[in-house]
This record gives sequence, C-alpha cells and structure tokens, in this order.
Amino acid sequence: MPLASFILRRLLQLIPTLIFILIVVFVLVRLLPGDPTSAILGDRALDADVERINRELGLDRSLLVQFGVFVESVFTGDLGRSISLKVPVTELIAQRLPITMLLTAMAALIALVMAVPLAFWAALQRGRAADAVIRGAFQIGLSMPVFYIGLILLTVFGAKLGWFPVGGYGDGFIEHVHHLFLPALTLAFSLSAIIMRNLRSAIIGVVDAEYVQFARAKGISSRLILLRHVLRNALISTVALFGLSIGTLLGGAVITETVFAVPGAGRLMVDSIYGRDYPVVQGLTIALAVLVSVTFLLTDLFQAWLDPRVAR
Amino acid sequence: MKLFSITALTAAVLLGSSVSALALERGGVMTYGRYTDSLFLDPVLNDANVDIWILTNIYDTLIAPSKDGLTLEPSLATEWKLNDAGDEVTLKLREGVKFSDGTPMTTDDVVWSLTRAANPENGIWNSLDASINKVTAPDSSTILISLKYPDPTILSALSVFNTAIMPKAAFEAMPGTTDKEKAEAFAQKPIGTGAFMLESWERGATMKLVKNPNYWAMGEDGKPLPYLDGLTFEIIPDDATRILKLQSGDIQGAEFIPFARVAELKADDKLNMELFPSTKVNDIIINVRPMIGDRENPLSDEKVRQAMNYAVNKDAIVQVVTYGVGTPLTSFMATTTPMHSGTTPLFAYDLEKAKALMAESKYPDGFSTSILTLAGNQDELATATALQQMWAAIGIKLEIKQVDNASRTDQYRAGTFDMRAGAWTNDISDASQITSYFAYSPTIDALHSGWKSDEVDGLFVASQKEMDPTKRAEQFARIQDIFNASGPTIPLYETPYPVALSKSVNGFYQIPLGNNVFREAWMAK
Amino acid sequence: MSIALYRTASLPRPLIFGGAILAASLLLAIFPSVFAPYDPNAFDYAALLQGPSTAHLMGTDNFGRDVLSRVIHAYTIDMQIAVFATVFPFLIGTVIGALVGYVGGISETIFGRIVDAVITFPFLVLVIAIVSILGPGLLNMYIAVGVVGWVFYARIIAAEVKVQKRLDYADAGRAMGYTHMRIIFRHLLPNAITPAVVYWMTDMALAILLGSSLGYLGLGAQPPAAEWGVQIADGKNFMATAWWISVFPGLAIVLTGLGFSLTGDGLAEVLRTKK
Repeated sequence: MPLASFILRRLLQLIPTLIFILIVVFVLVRLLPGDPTSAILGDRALDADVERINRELGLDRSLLVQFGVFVESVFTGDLGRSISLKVPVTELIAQRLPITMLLTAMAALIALVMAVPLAFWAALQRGRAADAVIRGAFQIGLSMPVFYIGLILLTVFGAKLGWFPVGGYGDGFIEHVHHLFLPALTLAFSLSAIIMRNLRSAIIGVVDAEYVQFARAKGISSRLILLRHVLRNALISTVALFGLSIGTLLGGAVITETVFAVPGAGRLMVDSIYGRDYPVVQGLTIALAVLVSVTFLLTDLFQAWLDPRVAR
Repeated sequence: MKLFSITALTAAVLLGSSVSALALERGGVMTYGRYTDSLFLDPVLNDANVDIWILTNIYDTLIAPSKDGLTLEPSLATEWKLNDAGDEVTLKLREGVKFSDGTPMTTDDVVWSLTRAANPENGIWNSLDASINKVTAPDSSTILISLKYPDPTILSALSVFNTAIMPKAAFEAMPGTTDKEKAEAFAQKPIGTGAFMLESWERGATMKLVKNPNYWAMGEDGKPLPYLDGLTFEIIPDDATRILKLQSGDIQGAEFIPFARVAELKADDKLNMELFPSTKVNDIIINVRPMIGDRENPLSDEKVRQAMNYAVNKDAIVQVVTYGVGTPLTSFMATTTPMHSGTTPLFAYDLEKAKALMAESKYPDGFSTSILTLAGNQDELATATALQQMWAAIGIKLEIKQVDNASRTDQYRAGTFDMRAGAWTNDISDASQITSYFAYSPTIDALHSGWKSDEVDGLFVASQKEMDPTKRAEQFARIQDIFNASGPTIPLYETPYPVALSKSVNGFYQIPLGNNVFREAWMAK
Repeated sequence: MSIALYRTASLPRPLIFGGAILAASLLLAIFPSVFAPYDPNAFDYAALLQGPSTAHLMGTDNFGRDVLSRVIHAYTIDMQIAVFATVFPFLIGTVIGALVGYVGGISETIFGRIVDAVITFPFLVLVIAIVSILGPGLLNMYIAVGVVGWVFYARIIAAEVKVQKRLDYADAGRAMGYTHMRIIFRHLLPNAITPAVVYWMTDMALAILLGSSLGYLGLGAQPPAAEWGVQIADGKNFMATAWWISVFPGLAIVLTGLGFSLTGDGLAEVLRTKK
C-alpha cells in the first residue's frame, strides 16, 4: 500500500476516535462531583454568588446546549476560555503542550539510549553476571517512585554538584533542554526498564528461534544475523510497547512535572480537573488525543518498516 | 464615640520601624517560591488566597492594615473620619499619587473603584462593603462615603484588598462589553498604584514584577520604595523542591514550608525560618443536622460532640501534625483576631470525661462516621489519622475519605458530609467575618453544619451596628462562649505562616491576614 | 523430597529465585500478624520518628508506628494490588489481542480506534474521575487501571500473533482443518504470549508504584491501612531527617518487583523451551 494513502486513511480514522473522546470527556467531567463555581469559589461562596456565577458561565443551561457550544468551539478551533484562569484555552495549550512534548521526546531518547544496547548485551550474556547486574539495576530504577528518584537527582546533580538547575524550565531552547534533562532522566528510568526487559526477552526469543539457528547453519556471519534478523524481529513488540508508553507519558507525567516544577500539560490537566475547569480539560484532552494518535501512527509506520508483514 | 483621625505621618517614620540597624541596600531582583500560581489579578472579581495574598503588591487600598493586623495605617488616604452616627466616612486622599503607567490618581478613580467593589453583582467579596450607599467626591482630594446604616467595620473594610484603587479610564478602555470581560483583559496587565507592577506572566511557571517607578511611599533612606528592582514569583508546587531551591540559592524565599521541616530549616544557618503570626485556625467541622439524607446522624447529639472534643488530645495533634509549631485554640477565632476572647485551650484532653459523656449520650455503644480530607494534604491526613485513633477509644469508628476540593465543597455546600477538616484565615481585620461564617446561621448555616443559636444570631446582628467597641467586644465574647461550648466544631490549633528566607533578605513580612508585603524587602549583596 | 529437588533443578534459575521471593511475599501477605512485631496502626507518642534500633528494626514513623510492622502488613494490600490490578487486563487483553491479530482486517481497524481512544484519553483524568465518582478505594483503583491496562497486552499480543500466523506452522494447522479457535489458542498464542508475560511481571511492579503516585495525589489506599506507596508518599517530608520511613517500603517494592521480574524471565524461558 502506498505510504501516503496509508497515512491519509489513518488520519481519517482519527475523526471517529476524536468524536468519541469528545463525548466521553464532556460527560465525564460533568459527572465529577462539584462544579467549576464551587471549585473556584471554595468554602466562602454564598448561594447567591454561586447561582450568579453559574449563570455568568452558562452552566445553568441544559447539557445539550453546553455540548453544542463545546462542539462548535472545537470545530472553530477556539476551544473556549479557561474558567479559573480567564484566558483562552488555546493559549494555555500552546504554552504548556510543547513543554510536555519536549520532555517526553527527551525521556524517550534517553530511555532508548540506555535500554537498547544494554538489552542486547544482557541477552547475549544471558544468565551470566553482566545480565544479572543490568537487570538488577533496571529493576531498581523501575521500582522507585518518580518523586523519590526526582528528589535524589535534584539533590545530587542540582543542589550538590550544580550540573543542572534545581527545577524550573528556563528561557530559550538550550536552557529548556538543560532544565528538562533531569526530569526526562527520571521518566526514562521506568520507561527504559520496560523497554530493556521486553527487548532482552524478545532478542533471546528470536535468537533461540529456528530460523536464526537455520541461518547460522547456512553460515551467515553472526553479526549479520544479529542485525538483519534479530533486531528486526525483536523490535516488533518493543515498538508497540514503546508507542503505548509514550502515549501515557504525554498526559501522565504530572508527578515528575510537579517535583521538577516544570509547567507542563500534565500539571495543567490535573489542576484543571481539580478546578473543574471544563473547557481546559476538554480542550487539553482533545489536543493530547491528536498528539498521541500521531505518535501511534509513527510507531505503526516504523513497525511496518521493520516487518512488512505487519502492514497490510 | 471614638473618633479615628490620624494625621499624615511621613511614610518613612512609619515604615522605618521594621528595618533593622543593618545598612539598607537597594536594587536586585528577589525570587520567591510559591506553591501555586495566582489565577486572576482583579481585586474585586478574584476568588482565592493565591490572588489576595499578593494583590496588595500591585494595588493599594485607601487604608492599610498594620503589620500586626490589629490597627489601620494611612495608605492612599492620609486621614479619615467616621462620623459620630457611624454612617458617613470622610477620607483625605494622598497628594501626588500616580498609577504605574504615570497617570495621576483622581477622585474619579476612587469613587469608581469603591462603587465597583460594593456592587453586589461583582465577585464574592462585596458583602464586606454591603453598608456602602454612595461614594462621592466633594472636592479633588476628599472622598465621602455615605452608609445605609452605621457600620463599625467600614474602616477595616476599606483596608481589604477588594477596595483597592484602580484606574477607571484604563479599565474602561479595555476590550469587552461587560465589567467581567474588561476585568479579564485588564488583569492580564494590571495597572495599580502598588509598589510593583506586572512585567510578564507565564501561567504556572513565573510571574515577574518590576519596581513601580511612580510609587508614592518613601523608604528609610528618603527615596521612594520599593528597595528591590524586581520581584519574581516562581511556581514550585513540590515542597521538597521548593526548599531545595532555596537552599541551593536559586531563590531567596519559599512559602508554605511543611511543619515537619521547620525545625530542620531553623537549624540551617544560611536561612531565616520565619513563623509570621496569622489568623489561621484549624478545626474539624461537624454536620449537626438530625438526619443526613435518610440516615440518623449521631453527631447531632451535643453530648456526643462534647465527648469527641474531650477525647481529642490537642497537644498530641499539635505535636504530630505541626511539630510543635501550632498552639491549641482558645476560641474558634485565632488570638490574632480583634475581639478574640478566651485564655485557656478549649476542651482540655480528658478521656474519662469523654467516656462518661458517651455513656450518657444516645449512642453509648459508639457508632461509625466519616471525615472528608483534602486529597494530597498531609496535615489534614495526619490530623484525621490521629483522630481515628483517639476516637476509637470512645467507640467511634472513623472512616477517612480523601477527596479533591471540588468534591468536598460540593458535599459541604449540600450539607451531606459527616465531618470535614476545616481551615480559616480572615480577610478583614475584624471578628465579624469569621463569626458570620462560623456562627451566624443566615450566612452559610454556620459552616454548612446546620447549627443554629438564636442568641448568637441576635448578638451578631447587634454587633454589626454597635459603634461602641467595648459593648461590641462583649457581644463577641458572648458569641464565642456559646459557640465554643456547643458549636459544630472540634477546635484544634492555630498556626503561623511558615516562610523560609535566605539570610540576605530583610524587611519582608506577611501580615496575619496573609498579605505578602514586599515593598520594604531588600537584599544584602 | 529427592524427586522435588530433581524437578526444581531442571527449572530455570530465575524462576527459582523469583518464585522463592514471591512465595515468601505471599506468606507475609497471608499471615502478616505472625511476623510483625507490633500493631501496625498503634501510635506511640513517646517514640516519634525514631531511627532503626533493636526495639524498632526499621525505626518509627511520624506517629510512632513501627515501620517494620507496617511494611509487613502492607504485603497484604500490595500483593493484592499487584495481582488484581493486572490479572484481568492480562487475560482480557491477551484474548482480544489474539483474536484481533488473527482475524485482522476490519476488526483490526476497529481495535486500533479503541486503542487510540483508550490510550489517548488521559489516564489521570480517568483515575481521578473514577475515584471521585465511585469514591476512593482499592477496588475502584483496579477498575481504573483495568480500563486502560488491557490495551497494552492486547496490542503486544496482536502484533505478535500477526507475525506468527504467517509462519509455516499456522498454515499447516489450517491445512489440517483445525478450527480457528484451536489455531489461535493452541498454536499461535503459546508462541506469541511470551512478551505479554514478561510485560505482565513488570506491570505488577508498576501497579504497586502507581499506588505511590496516587498516594502522592492522595488517591491511594485509605488510612490507616499500611501500603508501601502511601508510606513512601507519607515519608516524603522526612527524606532528609527520617529516611527510614520511605526507604524500607521502597526496598520492599524493589524486592517484590525483582521477584516478579525474575519469575517473568523464568516463565519466558520455560515457554520458549516448550515450543
């Protein structure tokens, strides 16, 4: 199948997904106990204030009307205004989402750099000391809560050694990368452990499989076997897993963002849920959905390239 | 009738007292770590402490609360007078005050700002100014406020953030048709007469303020305040990171230090661990309605509530929750609140008495109930965990429900909660605000608890018109006696504001109402 | 006895070590009171924040509770979390993934959309929503994790099955007239399941960790129950002054996680040799 039409079809398929998400998020945020007014006004609001502000926000209108307003705002690309911050939702997303994208991309890169070579080494040294050490180390990385790792990294490499800033985001691209290195490393710990374990196991599986034995019997040099057969075949499930993990990272790095004081989309999302800021939750969910779908598309393309049999 | 009149003291004399003998240094940008960002920088339409507590650096009010929160000081008004009947205020405006954009402040701005603040259609603070009937300007430097009825709190109300003076013309020039829309545009780049002005604001990350070159108040060195060139707020939500950043010298101040770490930071010789007196009280709010939904509510039994109160070891809670920083409450309001009465901690721990009271109650065998705490709030969780233990001793099984703020507010307002952890800070330097929410049932059903005392309601109404401070204090003392003995709360402790500052920082303070005051802050190089 | 020894000797070493750790964990989870020296919820105001000593091997926390006893009692909840939060996603995901991978075509397209919808929907929105609507508690946490978790297994399995079904032996099965179900579950799945099992074992450790993330947000296990994640979150303010509150539960997570991952690797070896 030609690449362009594959991509086009996938993008078209995105539309029903987005409509589904649109409906779910709209319903879900309204199922949450409480409403934006009591979330913002807190304990001191009088009943009259709550009523008046609900009216001002249009929250006294029927759900159907509210949904109509929401859908209209999505199609005009305006997404409404934040209830608590009183700025356009698009402005907030434009400010926060790129930060999270950069953080996730850096985490993914660091994780791959750590995991892929070590997975190969561990697989080839299967059962020996190197294998045990590598797996033990990744296991510890996987088992530590992110705020724990984060705080240790901040204390050692930030406060003590001064190699990296103690949290924050900085100004300009170079500074952003510098600021985001430690949080990205924190995220990479668990991500790389997942990838390493999966890839190691897959490599062992492929190496053991008959066709590699067969190729070896035919006398193809082992380096070539590794590259052509092993890597390609072993990466299939790993890439699928990698895509999924990146997807969850994009919207779920909230604790890392909190510990490192990175003003990313995860924190905006949680603050907005807690604040019942319906327009922000809705808009950000849609934006994240598009972004994650694109990530999936990329990993699917890569998977198809690895193994043409996967693509139809 | 007491007559308030303060002659125009020079600001230098007033402000000098807080600055130490150290040689004052000007310049520099101070970075202050906050746990969360502000939401909306409009004095009238904002809703939260995160706004209120820094607004006063950008906007000024006519009168200012003093550093200890107990008295009033001149600000944009140099003198004021409440007439004998208590229904008319005359204020003299300070000469030569300019907004941060350079335009002079006029009586027009003042009349408009106060009228906007008192408008019942605007925001949630207007009830503080409910007595205002009409604001006029007889001449170019005088403001006359006529009241609908005598109001003993009006002068304090004029020191509250929502009556800050804003530039009418600049506000009205904003895009939008309604006051709300204009305010949203204006608050993106607010203009006030305060010591600082907003330079840039990256939501959730940093807010940069710079010195207002037109500020009216003079510093100790005879030159205009503020001493700092700039003030940057950095948002660092994680407590541990905020402290680490302070210790590494990236920032010069950090708010909301967890009590668990106060002692540790006190021992750090590079830091000043400040505990600024506050009006903050912490308690447990009890729903006392006979029925909650369709089930019987044991908490409606006054004997049960007294037993629960006696079973709580406040000293132990002060220890495990505040690490000795807090002090047990002596009334439902903090000792820093004017007209607070009471000298001994309420319901001193007495387990035997508690058991006896339980035996006398309608529930001698105990019962199960629940408490709502704020998810992620360690102090509330620790309090609830301790209560769970303490009440188990009198047969009460307590379920702790951690929920987010909106869920809790929802149940709170609907009156469907059993108990919740509560905290309160005054916005006005007067006993009336806390009393109206805690004890006066028409406001919010006494903390949405369903508690009601006709005597308290009557006393409160009287106190709101009582111009004799002695009689008013008596009324509040009686209200406190009744509420403290039979009210819908478990009074726990009051706590100061824990702020850690770099040793180089001088002159910063937080007043008991919470306002962070940076105008006299300076940094030693 | 000698037979048992002989049999275990033929098992892969990781499986033996992993199994031993998990067996010990299970023992602690079922009989915590036998091993815990103190009541895990008993306060001791006279012994707040005490470091490790002979009286309290792992010290005491901010309420004077014995950390060791809490770590032991937490096994009950944490082993439950590890198993129940992952076993249903594993089973459901595996079955759906195998079917989708085998059938392909339109089912794959629909599946792809569902995966997109589930994964792209922010997990935290879902968790907070479920916890807020249904109330906090472990069961609701399983629901939240399960709603999302199955997708991972399904996607891994589907990709593998797709590869396997084109290999010779699947064609042979079809030529021999086996039913599709038999081909999927008897022939393809055993060959495709290894990565899912490996991931499952990692997932168990991740599920326990999720407890600590939710504990950080205040949505985890409800007090006074001891749970490692919540213990670590509670110890956060004391990392500098009373490290033992959070380090020991952390070690318990590492050890248990190691048990799961070794078991997973061992199982993978067994599955491969069975081929």
